[in-house]
Amino acid sequence: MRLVQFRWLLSAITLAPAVAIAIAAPARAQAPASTGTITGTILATGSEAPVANAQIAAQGTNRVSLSDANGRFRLTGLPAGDVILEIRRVGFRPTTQRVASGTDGVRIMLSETPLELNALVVTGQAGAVEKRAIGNSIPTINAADAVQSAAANTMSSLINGRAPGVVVTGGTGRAGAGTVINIRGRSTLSLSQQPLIYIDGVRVSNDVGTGPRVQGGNVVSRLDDINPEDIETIEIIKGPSAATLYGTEAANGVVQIITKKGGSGAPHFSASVREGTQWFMDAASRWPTNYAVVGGSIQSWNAVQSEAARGTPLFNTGHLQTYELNLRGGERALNYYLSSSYDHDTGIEPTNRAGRFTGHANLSIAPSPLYDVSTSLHVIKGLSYLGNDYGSSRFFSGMFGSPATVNTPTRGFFGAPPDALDAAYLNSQAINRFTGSVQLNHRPVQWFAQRVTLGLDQTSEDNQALSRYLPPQYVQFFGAVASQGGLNQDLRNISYATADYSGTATFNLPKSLVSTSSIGGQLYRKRIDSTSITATQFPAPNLTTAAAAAIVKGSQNYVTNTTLGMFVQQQMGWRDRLFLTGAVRVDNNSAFGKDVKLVTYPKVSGSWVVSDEGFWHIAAVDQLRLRAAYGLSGQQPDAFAALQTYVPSTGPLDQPIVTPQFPGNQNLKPERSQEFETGFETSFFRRVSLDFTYYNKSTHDAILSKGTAPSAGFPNPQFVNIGRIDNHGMELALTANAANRRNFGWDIGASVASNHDRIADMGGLPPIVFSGLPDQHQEQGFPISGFYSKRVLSATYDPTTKRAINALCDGGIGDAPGGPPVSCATAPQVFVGTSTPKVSGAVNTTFTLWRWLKLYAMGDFRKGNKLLNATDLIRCSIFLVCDVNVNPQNYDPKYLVTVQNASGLLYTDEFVQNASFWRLRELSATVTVPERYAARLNASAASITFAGRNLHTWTRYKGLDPEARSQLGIQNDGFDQAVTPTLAQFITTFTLTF
Amino acid sequence: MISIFVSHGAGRTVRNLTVMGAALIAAAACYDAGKILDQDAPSRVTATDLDNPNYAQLLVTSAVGDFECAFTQYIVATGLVGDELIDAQLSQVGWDYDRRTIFPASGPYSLFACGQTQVPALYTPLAVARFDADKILKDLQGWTDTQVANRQNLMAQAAVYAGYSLELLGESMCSAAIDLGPEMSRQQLFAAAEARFTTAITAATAANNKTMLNAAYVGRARARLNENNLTGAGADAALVTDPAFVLNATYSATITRRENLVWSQMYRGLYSAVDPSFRGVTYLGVADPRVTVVDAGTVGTDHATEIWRQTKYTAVGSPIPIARYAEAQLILAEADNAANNTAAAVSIINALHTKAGIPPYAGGTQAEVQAQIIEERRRELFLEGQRFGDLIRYNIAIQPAPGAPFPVKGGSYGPNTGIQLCFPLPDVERNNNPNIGKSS
Repeated sequence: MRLVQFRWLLSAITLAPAVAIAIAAPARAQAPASTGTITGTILATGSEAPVANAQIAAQGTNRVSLSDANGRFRLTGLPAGDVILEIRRVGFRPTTQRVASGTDGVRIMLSETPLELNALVVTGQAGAVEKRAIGNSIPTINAADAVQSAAANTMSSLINGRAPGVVVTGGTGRAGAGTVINIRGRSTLSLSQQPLIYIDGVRVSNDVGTGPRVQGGNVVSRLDDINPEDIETIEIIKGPSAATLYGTEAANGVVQIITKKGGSGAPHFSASVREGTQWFMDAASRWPTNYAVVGGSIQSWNAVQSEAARGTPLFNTGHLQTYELNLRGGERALNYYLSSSYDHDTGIEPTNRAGRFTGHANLSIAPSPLYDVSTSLHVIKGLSYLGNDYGSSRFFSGMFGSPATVNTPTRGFFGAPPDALDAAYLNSQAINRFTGSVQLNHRPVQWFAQRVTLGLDQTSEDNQALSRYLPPQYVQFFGAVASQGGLNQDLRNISYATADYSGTATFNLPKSLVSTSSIGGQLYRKRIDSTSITATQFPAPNLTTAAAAAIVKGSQNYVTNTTLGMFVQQQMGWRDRLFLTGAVRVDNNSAFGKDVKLVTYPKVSGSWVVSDEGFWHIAAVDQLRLRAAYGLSGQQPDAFAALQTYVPSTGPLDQPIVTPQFPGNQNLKPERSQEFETGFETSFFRRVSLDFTYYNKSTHDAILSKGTAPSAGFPNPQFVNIGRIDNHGMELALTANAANRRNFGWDIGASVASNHDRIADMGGLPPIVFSGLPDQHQEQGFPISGFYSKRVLSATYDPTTKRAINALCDGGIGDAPGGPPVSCATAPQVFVGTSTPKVSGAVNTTFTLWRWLKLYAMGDFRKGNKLLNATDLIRCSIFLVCDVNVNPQNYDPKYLVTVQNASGLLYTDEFVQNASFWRLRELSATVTVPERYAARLNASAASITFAGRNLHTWTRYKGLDPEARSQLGIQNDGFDQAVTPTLAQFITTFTLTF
Repeated sequence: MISIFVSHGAGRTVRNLTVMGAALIAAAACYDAGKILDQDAPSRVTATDLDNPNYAQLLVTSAVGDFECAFTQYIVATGLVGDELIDAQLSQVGWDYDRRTIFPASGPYSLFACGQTQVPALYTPLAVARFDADKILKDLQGWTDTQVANRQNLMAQAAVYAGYSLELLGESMCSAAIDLGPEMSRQQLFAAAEARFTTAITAATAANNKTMLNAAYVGRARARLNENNLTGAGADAALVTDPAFVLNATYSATITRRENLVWSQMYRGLYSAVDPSFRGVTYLGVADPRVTVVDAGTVGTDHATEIWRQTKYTAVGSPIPIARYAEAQLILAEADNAANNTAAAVSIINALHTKAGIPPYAGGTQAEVQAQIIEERRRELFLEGQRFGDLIRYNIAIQPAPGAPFPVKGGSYGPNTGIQLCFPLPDVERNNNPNIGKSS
């Protein structure tokens, strides 16, 4: 049995800290008396602007302070005599300065640096490690800056456009709706594509698409629960070569969120108020106009225009508001950061609004230089009314309506007018979430440090899809039974528990060598408890609970999954410029098949800071680091994928029965992704930095949810390890400090990333379609989730029948386009593209004027991605309300062939449209109120930011929004059917610090 | 833990911590690592746990339950492709049924499992029901009477439901497979069904289970009718002599998969409606009570198709006959007529007319009587899962004709050239069954 072999490993992991602590205790050193204080200001070299949030640490002690908005800091509890201060801040070159304890008003200059090789990285390492030692590119997002200058009011907008190769995809523009994150493209056929998410070292829920399961309510991503104001930095591990220590499940990368900590010094209160609006920009001109022949003449109808004329505008202007208060400081051995926020956003539809309260407390206690303990506690309470998309929204009924029904009670809308839909449907998600961790750092002796992290992320979701009991005037639109309403409720409790240990021993060896040896182990346990209630038919109006419905059905279940793993890592450093690292991670997971033993993931990486070598004499190039890494990571199958199971059900006379469910696979192993990445970082003239990476990833034993022959009796798919997926690309990030004068600063940043994925091997299986929808499938030799269509090459128009005839289609070379013309009836569906961007990136620029005005802009783009414009497909090929349906003679007969045959989704070429875009994502002006004016408010600092988001989009996509997706978190997500587009926003933020 | 740090000196804290940590870690190390990694499956039963004679009754009941679920899905799916029902819903994947544009890659008819409410399933539920019944039948045959009480009775039930699963596979599929075996033609499926019913007849006789015995005779007669063995069919049908005989598929409101889908499609979901050809059916000016259809006065969820409801099943728990006396009589009439005993056939038709309270049938030539029998089957067995088989067996021209525009939701009616009215062997079977050649 697999478990027996594992037991000794577990013992080895879990005993390690006990042994280490036991050894360490007697060797404890005496802490020196601590009384001295240092105060001062941190300023930027050149502009002499104050630098906020810089970390000032006294070496040899555990005293840490943070600079406030005026750059001021205060360190207390220092030993007498000289102290070496170490100052770090993202975006600046770390520096040290010797200061006598007791000094007041010390000025410390920090120079901005395009490249920070000494910055600490915690993600993917046994402990915090300087960037220079790591063989991977690990981008760090400075959250505080982004929140202020970009008015990034969600986690998704905080990440989007700030790390090359990290693609954030929105879905719907509804308030409360979340996004999905894809790092370095897609590399799995049937499993989740989402990266793991950690908050302060503890694994948390990375669920996307949560929410009520009907009426398009499942749009919430758990990542967006987190208040961006609480974030210090975000580190992103992109692939298996960097994520090896995370083992199984980390193949899609890791997003580590590091929250704000306190720092010793006087308490600082900071309060901010954010008010804004969001709206559907240019709705009247972007909204499609529908046509029909009514009474022999062609009539038109545009829902936005006709409702506006009627005095009942189809859309509102949404209101965005956030109130935030935080307190930061430190006394003696205790540092604290406490914050609380309240958010309330309304969407453009009356049934859409999202509210959230957050509380956050980070405490750290350092009673002795030998150890410190920190806690990170977050509480979130939210209630979102999510609105509806597709089947039951005004987008659906307004886009698919017809002028033929304008004089009926529907007013032209399909099925029901918007007021009836608003009266009928209400989707909501209420959450209570607690994320907490305790971390113990212990440095018993000079050469050894260990860390234990214990944490829990617990989310209770109450997802409700309510159909109300309707007043008589609306019954005609829904039918008598449906008008009695009902409730679908899913209650879910999702908990992630993390126990993590790592210990690191560092030795100085002869010949300038430093050896760093680490050992660690993790236990992750996930449990989902769910209760589902379906209640139908209320007897009277205003009833909204299952208790009030005539028919109530319920179900309850839970799923657990456990990962247990350990790693050993050895790093050798030579003169702080050449580093070699090797590591092995060993994992077991409860979802693996019985016949699968431990899974091993090795890694090796190297880093060489060439510019530190004595022979380096190229003056223009200040820094150059070469790096390369190779490593493996995995992704586990579904919890029950290994077991052959029957599921209990109800049979004749309501007796209990069992029915076959999953065929199971006892040989199921995790997917194994191996990755090689190499690249360099360099900076020129202390102003320009360049970070280049090439990666090549290959997923072996790819898990495929493979259909099973129904004749074998088990109706569900079987997860099998089959085939290989290849994925490669390049990433380039550039920053430039174009000007850095006292009254004028100009910074530019740009990033671009490419990605190409291909199903290299699918075990020779024929294409696998998604639930019978023929327009998108998995096929060997093509990218993941490609679109396939009959591609029309030529046709002629028959004016009598008003139809396209004599259609010839691409005969294909296999299923690749470019074959000889053949009759469309027998033509294959050829590959026409994929929804994964081939190139993505962003450009940003910041001007700083007179030290008090900052102008900032960011635009981002995707290129090479396609999207099925199902809205137009349905309008033109199913409901026949497009101009092409009433004036076919004005259109290219080729286009007519698709339009007249697309209903079965075999001809979709014209509707699978280029969804490349450039978007002016963020534009802002921040005014830092001069201190003397702030003082009039009794404040030490004040700032105001005016920001616009999503103000313009350049795209050839013909639907409303190239970022729209009907559903996120699924493989075939390239589908846009009547989805709320990304909304334009204008936000004003006012921040005061006391 | 925080209070410990504050109230004690650092030295004691570390010692306390060491002791606590060591104790915790020692406890964790002693804890059976195996248990941590055991996969809890609180809502599933592993297949191996069920391989036990103690569960014989459970598994037979389960096979019946799976068949009943498959049966109601079958009636709606084949009713849509055939001429009994029309589509009235908005899910694009569902239109292929009514539009008759089923391809081997189409999802609902091949992949959907039991318990659908909007777009019905077909092949998978039937295959599961067939597998369940055959598996427990084979197990029962291997077990002894001492191991399993009531074994013959259970075998009769298992064999009847295996037989009906195969019968329906034969009537709807162009070809199918069982137990990952080779592709079977319709005739091979009917032969397999006949063999199951023969087994059932032996077991039901031994167990003296009259209902199962009659069901097996009707089932074998139906299989033989499909095999064009009219003499054999008539002989079996003649053995069903109890006018009250009926084997019902039972339904209830308990859970979705126990619901009568024919009812819920029209009375609750508004997803399909009765085809115009079954509205206002009369005989010699008298309304035929066997096919009563009412205008619901509402449109379906596609907001266009008028909902006309059947009144045969008026509740979510209305049972649906799988086999009954009238069916046996109509098979007997067909056999009699084929054997030139037209008068016997007419007398059977008239007995049904008398029961329905409509004027008698005057009789006619052998061909005319055969046409009347087909019409009687259409009415008598309306929405009982018989009409689709009849359309194929009697080669009845389907309306609207192929190529006519499919109203409201676009495209044209099939079947496309080269595809018969029957459902093609789905790709999911072809591509995952090692004994069948792959599609390209």
